[in-house]
Amino acid sequence: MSPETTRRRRAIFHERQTYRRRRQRDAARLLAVLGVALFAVPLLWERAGTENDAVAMSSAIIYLFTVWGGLILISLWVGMTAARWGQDSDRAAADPGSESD
Amino acid sequence: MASFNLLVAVCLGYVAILFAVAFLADRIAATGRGRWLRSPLIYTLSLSIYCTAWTFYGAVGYAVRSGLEFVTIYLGPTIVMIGWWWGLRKLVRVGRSQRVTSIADLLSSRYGKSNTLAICVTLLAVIGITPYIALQLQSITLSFATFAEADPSRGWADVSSGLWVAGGLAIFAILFGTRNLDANERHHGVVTAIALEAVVKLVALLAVGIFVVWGLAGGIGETMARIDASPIGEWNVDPGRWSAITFLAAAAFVCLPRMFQVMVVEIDNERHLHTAAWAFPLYLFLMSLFVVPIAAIGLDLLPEGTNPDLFVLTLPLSQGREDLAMLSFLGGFSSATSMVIVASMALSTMLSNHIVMPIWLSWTGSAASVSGDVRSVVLLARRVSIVVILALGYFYYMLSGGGAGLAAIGLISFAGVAQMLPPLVGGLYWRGATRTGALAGLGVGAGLWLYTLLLPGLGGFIPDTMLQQGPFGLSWLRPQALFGITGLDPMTHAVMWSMALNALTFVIVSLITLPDPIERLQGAQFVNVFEHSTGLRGWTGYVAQSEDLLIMAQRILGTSDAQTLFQREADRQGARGHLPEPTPDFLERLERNLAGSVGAAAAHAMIAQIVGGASVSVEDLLAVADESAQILEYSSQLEAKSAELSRTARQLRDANDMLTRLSAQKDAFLGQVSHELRTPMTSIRAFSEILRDTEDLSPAETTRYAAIIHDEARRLTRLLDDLLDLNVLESGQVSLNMRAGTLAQVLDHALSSALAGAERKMVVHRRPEMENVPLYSDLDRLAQVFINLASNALKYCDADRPELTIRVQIQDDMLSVDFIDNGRGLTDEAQTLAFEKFYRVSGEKAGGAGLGLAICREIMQRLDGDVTYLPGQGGGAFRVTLPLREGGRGIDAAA
Amino acid sequence: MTGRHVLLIEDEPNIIEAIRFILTREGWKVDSHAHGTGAVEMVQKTDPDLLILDVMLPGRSGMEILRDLRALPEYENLPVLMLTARGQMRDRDMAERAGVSRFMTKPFSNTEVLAAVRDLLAQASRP
Repeated sequence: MSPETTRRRRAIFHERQTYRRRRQRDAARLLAVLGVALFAVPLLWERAGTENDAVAMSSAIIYLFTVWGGLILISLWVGMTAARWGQDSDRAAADPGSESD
Repeated sequence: MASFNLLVAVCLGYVAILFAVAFLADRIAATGRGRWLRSPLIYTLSLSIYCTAWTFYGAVGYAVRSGLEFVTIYLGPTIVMIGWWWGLRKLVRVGRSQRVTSIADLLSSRYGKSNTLAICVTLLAVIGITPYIALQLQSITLSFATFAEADPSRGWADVSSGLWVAGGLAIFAILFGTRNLDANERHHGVVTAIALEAVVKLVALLAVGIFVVWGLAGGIGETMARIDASPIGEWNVDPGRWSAITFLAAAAFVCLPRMFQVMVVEIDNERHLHTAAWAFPLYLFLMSLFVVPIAAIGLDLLPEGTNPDLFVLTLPLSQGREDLAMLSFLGGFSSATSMVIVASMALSTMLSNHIVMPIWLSWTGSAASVSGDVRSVVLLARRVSIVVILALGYFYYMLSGGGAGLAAIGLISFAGVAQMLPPLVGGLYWRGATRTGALAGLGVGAGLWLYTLLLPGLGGFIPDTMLQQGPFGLSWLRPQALFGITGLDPMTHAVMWSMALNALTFVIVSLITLPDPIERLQGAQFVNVFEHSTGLRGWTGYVAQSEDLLIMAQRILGTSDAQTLFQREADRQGARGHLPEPTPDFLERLERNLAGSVGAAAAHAMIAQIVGGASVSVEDLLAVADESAQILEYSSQLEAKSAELSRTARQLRDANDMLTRLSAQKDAFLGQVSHELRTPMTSIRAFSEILRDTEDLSPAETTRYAAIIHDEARRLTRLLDDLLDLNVLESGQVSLNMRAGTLAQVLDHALSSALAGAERKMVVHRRPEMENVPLYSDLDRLAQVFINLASNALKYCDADRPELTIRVQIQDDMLSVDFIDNGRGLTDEAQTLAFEKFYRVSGEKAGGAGLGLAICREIMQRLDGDVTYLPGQGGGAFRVTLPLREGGRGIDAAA
Repeated sequence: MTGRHVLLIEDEPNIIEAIRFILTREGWKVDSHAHGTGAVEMVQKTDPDLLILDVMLPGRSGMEILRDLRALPEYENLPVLMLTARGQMRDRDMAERAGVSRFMTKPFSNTEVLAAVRDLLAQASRP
């Protein structure tokens, strides 16, 4: 392989990694939104004292804690990848609003 | 039944362990060891002071009363933590780069170091948190009482135990929270003890939960069935409260002074957030996992009328599991103590920095910052503040009678501190936010909070008639139904109105008011913190006397710390002695250090007093205005002299730097010249001595040595010629002999002199049709350059059959002549050095002095052209460029 | 007498020839190396009784070579005569710090070189 192609390969690889990091940061941001949305679902449930059957406490517990646990796992993944974002995270995403992809 | 005495003993033993842990951690941190003290795990655990006794005991009571609504208290912080990339990251960065000591300090710092704002925030925090502290005292005394009831042999007095508990907590907080004034305001001892308490309360709650689910109910399926069958077996959460409390909990999680303390002030490394982002939600998850089972089973098993707030304690007791009850008691005890300790520490910092210190500074009159021992005053102020805060909590507890009214206090507290959210978020993300806006928003929000939530909630402060009909019969001003909005739950109602109007006022007033310069600078620093994390706004005064600064700093940081700081700074500046010059850089660093001890506003004002506040007004600390005026006058007298002196010193320094640089260059040049001259002289001397002293030399040897002497002598002459030539060219004394000719003539002449008589043969490729270019220049000098390049090619081209291609181009009135050989060319390093004097290709032997190309470049620059190395030509390649001149005009240039 | 072997590290061919001539006539065996790189290896290979070292060499300077040699236990006491054409006080100081045995400025007289070589070897062979 000539030096020319090696260099080009590496350049693409680099861009791809940067791209992935940006998407990971997007995921990190979206996580809070996802959390809000999922935790807002119970607002729509039937309550006790209405005409229809209310949602059983056990189902409510299972839903909430499953969502909660899921969010924790995603956050764990984000936290682990964030450790590898390193220094560029400071510049590339200085401000949620200022980052342009 | 376990005796009450045993409980007290266990309790005291536990406190002793906490003391020991805190003490050891402080010791280890002081020696610089113990990296684990600053690990993400400890950080995450310390965040758990969010879970107070209110949540440890109260969550079960809450679940009994309102079902799953209790979980909102944990969902808010979960969302904040998993969304750390949006908010906490920035908050932590700002906190660290500005060295803030509390949330009041942060807001004050953001809004132009305004102490008024800091005072307002502090007062709001004290009003909001005092009942909360009372709640903790209540929970501890209640849990004691529960055990005391089970042990009839003891008399038990609620109130006196409250006093003991409050006193003990005050001592702990004072011992470990105010032992020293750390520039970073970090407390490893307290944080480590809290982390331990976090583990205890989690283990305790999990143990009770596991006991209830598997010990009492008989497994998960069975438990779920009993939950569904219990009075709380159906979803029954008010949607308004669900969203309002989730939001409140999220806001309070960030704004509560104690949370701010552990989350922002005590953080050691921003990366801890990566771990806390999932680990703290996990902690909350585990803390709430067994709440509903305990509540449901408790309702089932315990007699009616048992206080559900204490199910965690009474359920194991009723089953005869005193060991478990004891553990649970320690869990609740941990929750309450850790909260009270950190909250009182955080509040005391705010009280002393923003209220006590400014008053003290103005009260002690002139020259306070250089006469009194500020350091001990700060510590004393904090200790007194801790005592005052706990006393307030205790009296509140006494007055409220420890009744059920306290149970609602947690949320009311949250709603109070949440009022800081608009100025906080606005300050971090919106540069247009102003101090006036923040003050107005806070005022409106806090007022509404008092009117719609705190006062009605306390009972007795607002008459029932006013609640029913509104003040003065104005029904649309009813505290719990503003503007006639009735159907809302009071909590939702209060949160909605106070937060909405707070934010609205904040935004509108910010839009119509103008920030002052410091505010705008600080605004930029906060909002764009990731772009410049280190800088603060600048001090431009050179007028300060370093000695005054040192005296002041000693009072605040302590003698040795201050001297170390100044010495380090002096070393950095390269100054002799111990006092650095008061450069803007240094003043900024000093201010940040002082800010760690006395808060940003006070530190800024103190330095402003001494420095003369060249770029900043001192109005941000009204209380010390008189004093600063005096010092301003003093320093303005110094200004003239001091500024003059420092200007002269700078000029001298610059001149000295330049001389040193020149002298170093001259040294290097002379060393080179010496080497170049002495080397041929060495051979000449050695061989002439051999010829003189050796009698039995063969004729061949004699001839050979004489030839060496001759060669070296010529080399010496050439070197001297070159040196003189270079000297003439460099000094600009050269007179150019301009005349007309063609490029072809010059090249012919140059190539014939360069190649004539050479041992190697070199093929030269030329294109005569391109060379018929008329020139008007110093043709002899030009030929000298060409000769040099051609001889270099001849000398250094390492091909077996050396070839030289001469390529001529004309572009935009510039003539370029390239000399390209078929050798290996120059290495990257050689390319950059080739034109330096005395540079020679390594391994080159007697021949050039390494001045040839330097001379070529000098010549070409005299002729308004240049000679450069042309990389990438497949061989050594030099390009000579030369402008086509007036004198040559009229002849067909393109030929 | 065993000390009859000199290694000369110098990049000027004429100077090598001159010194080789002077010393060979007096019965010394002279090896030479014309480059800074590989000089230490050359010393290890030829194991001379005396080293004559130029300061300004292509590749590595004589100072560096000397420092490297002195760091090796077997060459701690090797006599080293250093030659420089730069002739500045700083070089002499540096050379002394690096552990030179004798320092001479070019151009030198042949008798001086001979005397220095004799001297150094006499010192070295003394117990």
